[in-house]
Amino acid sequence: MKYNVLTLSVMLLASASVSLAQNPKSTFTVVRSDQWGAQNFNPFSPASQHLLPTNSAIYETLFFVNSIDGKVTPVLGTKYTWSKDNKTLTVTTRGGVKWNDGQTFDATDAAFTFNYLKQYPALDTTGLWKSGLTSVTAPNASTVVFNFNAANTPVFVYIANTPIVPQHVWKDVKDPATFTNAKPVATGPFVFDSYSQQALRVLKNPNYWMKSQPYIDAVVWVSTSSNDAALLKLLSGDVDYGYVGISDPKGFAAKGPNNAYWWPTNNINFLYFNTVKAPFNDAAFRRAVAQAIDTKQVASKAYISAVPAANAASIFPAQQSTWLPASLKAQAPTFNVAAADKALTAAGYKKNAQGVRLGKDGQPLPTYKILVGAGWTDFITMAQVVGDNLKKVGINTSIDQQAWGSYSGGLQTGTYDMGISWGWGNGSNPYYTFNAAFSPDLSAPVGKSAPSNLSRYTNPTITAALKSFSTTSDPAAQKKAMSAIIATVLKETPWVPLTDRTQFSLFNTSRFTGFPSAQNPYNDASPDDTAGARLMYLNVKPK
Amino acid sequence: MPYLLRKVVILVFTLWVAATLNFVLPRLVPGDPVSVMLAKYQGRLDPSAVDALKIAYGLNDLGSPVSQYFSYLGRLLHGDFGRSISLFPTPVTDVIGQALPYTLGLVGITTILSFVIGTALGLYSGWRRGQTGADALTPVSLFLSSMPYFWFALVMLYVFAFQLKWFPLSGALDPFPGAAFTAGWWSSLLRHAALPAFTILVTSVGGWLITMRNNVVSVASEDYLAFARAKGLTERRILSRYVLRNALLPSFTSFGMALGFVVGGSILTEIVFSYPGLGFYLYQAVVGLDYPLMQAIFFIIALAVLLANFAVDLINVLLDPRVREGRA
Amino acid sequence: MNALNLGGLRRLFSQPRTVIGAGILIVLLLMGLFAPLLTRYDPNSLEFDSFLPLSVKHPLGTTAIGQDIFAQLLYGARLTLLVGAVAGLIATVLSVALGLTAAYLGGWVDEAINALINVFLVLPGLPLVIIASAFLRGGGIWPVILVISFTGWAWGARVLRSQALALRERDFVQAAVASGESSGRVIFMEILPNMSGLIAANFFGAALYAVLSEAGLSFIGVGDVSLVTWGTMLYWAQAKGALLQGAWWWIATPGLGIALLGTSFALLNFAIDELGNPRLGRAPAKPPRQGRVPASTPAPSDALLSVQHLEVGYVTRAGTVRAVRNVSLEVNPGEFVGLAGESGCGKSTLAFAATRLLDPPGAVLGGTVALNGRDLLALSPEELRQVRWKEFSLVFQASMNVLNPVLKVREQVYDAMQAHGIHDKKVLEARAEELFRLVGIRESALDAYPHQLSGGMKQRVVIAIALALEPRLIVMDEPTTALDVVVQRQILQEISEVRRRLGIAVVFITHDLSLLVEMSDRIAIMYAGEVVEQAPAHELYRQPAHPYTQQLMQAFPPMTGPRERRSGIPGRPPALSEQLTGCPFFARCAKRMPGICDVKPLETFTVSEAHTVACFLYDPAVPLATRTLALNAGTPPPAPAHPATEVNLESALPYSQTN
Repeated sequence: MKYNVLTLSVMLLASASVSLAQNPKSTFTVVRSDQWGAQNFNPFSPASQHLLPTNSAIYETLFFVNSIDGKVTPVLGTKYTWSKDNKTLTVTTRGGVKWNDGQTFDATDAAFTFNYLKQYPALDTTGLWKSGLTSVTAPNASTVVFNFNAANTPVFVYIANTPIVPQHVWKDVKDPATFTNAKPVATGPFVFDSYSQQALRVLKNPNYWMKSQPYIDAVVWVSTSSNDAALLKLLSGDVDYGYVGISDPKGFAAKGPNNAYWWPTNNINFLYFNTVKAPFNDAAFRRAVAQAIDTKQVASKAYISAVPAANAASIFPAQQSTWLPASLKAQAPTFNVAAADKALTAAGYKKNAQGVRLGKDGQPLPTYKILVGAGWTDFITMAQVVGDNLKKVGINTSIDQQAWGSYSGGLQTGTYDMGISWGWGNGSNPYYTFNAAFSPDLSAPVGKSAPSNLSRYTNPTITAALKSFSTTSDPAAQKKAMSAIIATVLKETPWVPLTDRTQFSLFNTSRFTGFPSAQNPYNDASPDDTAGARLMYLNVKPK
Repeated sequence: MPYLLRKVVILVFTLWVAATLNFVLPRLVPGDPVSVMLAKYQGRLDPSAVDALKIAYGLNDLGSPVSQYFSYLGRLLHGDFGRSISLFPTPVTDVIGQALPYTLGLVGITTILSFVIGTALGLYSGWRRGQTGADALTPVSLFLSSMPYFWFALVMLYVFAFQLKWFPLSGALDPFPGAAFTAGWWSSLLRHAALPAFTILVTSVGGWLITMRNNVVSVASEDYLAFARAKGLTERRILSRYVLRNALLPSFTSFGMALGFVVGGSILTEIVFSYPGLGFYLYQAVVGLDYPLMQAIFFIIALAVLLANFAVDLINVLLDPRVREGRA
Repeated sequence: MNALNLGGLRRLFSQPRTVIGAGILIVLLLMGLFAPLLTRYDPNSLEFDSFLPLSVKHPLGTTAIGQDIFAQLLYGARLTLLVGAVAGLIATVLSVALGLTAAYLGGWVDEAINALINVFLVLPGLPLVIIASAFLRGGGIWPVILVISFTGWAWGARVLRSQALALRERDFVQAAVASGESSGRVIFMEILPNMSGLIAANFFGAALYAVLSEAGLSFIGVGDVSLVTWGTMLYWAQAKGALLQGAWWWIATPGLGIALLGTSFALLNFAIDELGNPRLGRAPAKPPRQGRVPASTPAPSDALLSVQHLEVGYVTRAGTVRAVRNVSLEVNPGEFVGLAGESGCGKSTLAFAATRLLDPPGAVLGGTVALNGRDLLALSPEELRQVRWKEFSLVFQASMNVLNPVLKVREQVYDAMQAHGIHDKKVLEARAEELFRLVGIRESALDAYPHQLSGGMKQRVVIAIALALEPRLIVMDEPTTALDVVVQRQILQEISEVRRRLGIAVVFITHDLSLLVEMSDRIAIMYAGEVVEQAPAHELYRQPAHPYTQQLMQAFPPMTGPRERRSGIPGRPPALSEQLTGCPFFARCAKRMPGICDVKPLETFTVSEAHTVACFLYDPAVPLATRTLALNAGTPPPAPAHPATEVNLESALPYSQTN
């Protein structure tokens, strides 16, 4: 019986997709400025290795957490609650969802997915099972229970963003790290249609659990291999969307009424100080240096008109209203060369007759190296501007370009002076930034590799506040903890936020409406291959 | 036959050198494959996941460099190039399999065309020495062959693809060109290959021209040519049987080396046009520090050039009777 | 010839190519050197706005991050030139060192280095550099230079090695080694200086390679992109989307700079190459076509070949060298005419000019050459082609290369006939076999390649081909000179035989008078471009009239008879570039009449029937007394500038009279 139903649905599905394949009525086209790889739909592979539709159109997660403002949208999970002690998370899964091979989705698939990560630690790239998770069970077909041995509410976002895979397929996959999953069985709004080096196509899933969406029949990705080429396609209206880091989005938007862009901030580029090395171990020195840097100039040189200088308190614009009280805003250091000069002298670093800054021992300060990745034009430019700025207060610097291995190695083992890098943690609230940056658990002695506390800075106030933040789910308590962290960071200046890091969404709105935007931020403008893009594919409608 | 045997021995030896260089060079670079792999995750990786990933990528327990070398050679002989790191878990041979036809087509055809055109023009330039047209070809060729490949490619791209829009900006095919080898597919393929091919053609034809011209001028002063003219042979006969065959021989010996240069130049051209051939993937591999892919592509390129050289040596034997008896 | 000595340098700089190449290079050099004077902006400073258009303040606008492009162009010249020069230098040093070592030491060292060279030549350069380049990122300019040199030395090493190998065998090197000079001295004082031209050319080639490689590497971002070179400028232009922004000049100017720099290197390389191999240069100036001057119509004569007042010269920049002066010569049907003279007297030039095979800068300056009454010099190229080989043929000097090395002998025999209308395979085959029988080669030689035949056989083949269409005249230019005596004899006998049988007239050119005396009907003696005496062979032998001929005769030892002192002729013939008045033999003549011989324009006088001589001793216009005095004079001419050979003081009288 079941077999017949299965066969029938497969046949129906097949015929439906055949007819669609012959003529998808409305196709949403996405342009890429690089070339994708082989036909790999493994949702657990790193982003650059599985194909673009994998986690954005084919597979679905439990929830979608907007990384900009933290809003939670239900996907395969409809409800979630933390227990009072924040050690148990209960998730209700959606009913009426089918895998695209016809089988029913339920909570056992979700539980299986998480236990699969435990079975194959190589897939657990966000370290779920190391964050206190002890067990995942599905007591019934619509409930999943996560048990932790310690309260850690920020881990929710990683649980929410895990793609859910069918147990009946993956229980037989013994080598998930190399499995390419050529025929993906998933719950998402689209199914795989065709693959070539030039174009990928997915067709609307006729049995998708949302009845009226998606509004479009197909999504096509076309590859180009440079930003210029991708931009041209957008300008000419050949494509509708592109995630392209061009240098002048304002100019792009100005070129036509259908050109639009949305570049929300989701991270920051920091100038890290290696706080175990003198004089960077001196907070007064660090604060003075921060005042000498013109972050507006840094941003305008590195990114022409696109990206603003970072908020001095390290809070992303979309999160400022929630997490950054006005009082703290005022405490941030401002760009003032004269004041920086005075502050340095006051801190014991005088200038000699030639204008060279001296150390506390009276000797001229050495030339400090600013570590950047080799060939990264934006970081190199930033280092050039910072160097220019610091020269004006008598501090000499040089640019140290290193290949990735030595760059990240240098940052992680604490052998640098100053370095430019992004926040090695970021998320829908500032906890992710500050935890990754200043948690003692993520630091290490010099010579050993620190996972993400690159400046090796810790402070008891910050440590305590991080803990209290993560062990509660009460917004008020979290806000209080966050303010304490921000205030300390502002005072101690273990780093200087230089520029924002943004998403790079560009749109050509001539054929479709319903794009996400600053006015309608239903996703986080994340790239076309992420879970956030799924919402865009669901919401765009032919004009 | 000893001539050919010598050539085979040199071929194998050079291959071995290429393979060894391939092994040694990336290992001299600071950093290691593991950290390269970690770059995929932008540093936000749990240490236990790191261990598990290492196992999955085959990057754990590598052994001493010497044992690594021999197992590398062993795998090479089996055609096992491992898996690409940037395109993990795609086997490197798959990537190469996809890219190879494009490069073979582009480089192969344009090299032959360039050789034919350059040789023909060189023949004209050498034979009609003293006439303005023939003489002007020399400085023009010198200029063309001194231009950076990629700069010319950029200029072509700007003028013909960007401004005039006669040709596409990048890639090898349109997004949905139709089934392989249909008319639409061919039209798409040729339109995309036109500019890269033209670039390689223009920048490499100069070298052939000058070589052939010099050969023709040398041959023109040989005694057998004077004798041929004295016999009253027609100019066509002299050109085809006396000049061409003799002037081509030295060109052939340098064909192999020139091929190496053309391959190098084609890499830059593929990068500028984003033509998905071996050169383009080599560049991506270098940028992404994908060592298995880098090594495999370099090896394949070296192998192809060596085989082409060997083929040329074979042709040389056919064309030059003096070589057949080892009296080159 | 491969040495860049002063004369070579002067010739080098007289060529337009060198001037242009050097000129471009100097301009670019100056640009880089005087950058601080030509612009007041620092190429690295970011103070300006991005993507500014062209203006007076910014002649090339600004980059995406606000740097002045013109300043970058000027300062970029420095590093680009530095990379080119230094990498080129290092690569050249490596090439010279390895090439010379391999050539000089030989043996297994040579084999090993040669193998290394071959490997490096075949390994594709750019991929190798790209792979090696992972070192280079952000490392400054020196790793780039080193890697480029490391991949660029092999080509030069191969060229220099083969040149050094050739030089090693030369006598001056062998002499130096034999005289006990140390290896170091031999290499540095003997071999290297003679390769200076080649090394210089090689340097420019290597510099070109270095500049293009640096540009390519920088462009793809492998290399230190924080430096300012023309290559990195292109990288940044591409990375910042210059084309999309419309700032095409940001891409055009550095690229053009690289192209011009590369061209200048290539021009200099080419020019120096030409120096060592002058044939590669521009075609020598085409002398005015004198062949169709209608002024001199051939005097009617029933001779087969009638050369009248032929003037042939070589037109050079330094003036015209008159190689054949007012030569008149006749050949009757079936006659064997010998043409003798020492090297450089113009006999080959005469033969080539008469058969219109003379290449520029040689040209016929006057006179006629009539074959069967038709002026050969006045024929159109197609008429000439048809006449060639049918009416007359030519046998060249027995050189290695008279036959096309890549064609079978058969084809080369056939094509002479095919060019004149014989196409029937059977006829061709029959005729070829017949010809070979005639000259005494076996027929299997038809299927051989020239290199498989000995010198003697090759020459026989050439003679066979010359007979193919039964021409009425064959001109043979030293056909047996390069062969050994025995073979020489055989061939001469065959020629004689064939000629008699077929009734072919032969003009036989040689410097070996003794041969001619035996075989010729008539002999003509040439000296310094003039025919100084013509006579039937036996008369010339018994009664040579011209003092030069007399002395030539005296130079031969008889096969039998007592051994006697032989005398050569002291002195040397005059240089043909000089304007000669009077008799060219004056300076060396034992019977000269000062005031007459060196002043009067030379004429030809009759001694007896069929015997003419161009000597004033037989000039009826000169008083008999003067002539008799000179004829009987015994005093040898004053000692010449260079040490003479032994002088026979015995007698200056004709040979026959001492008998």
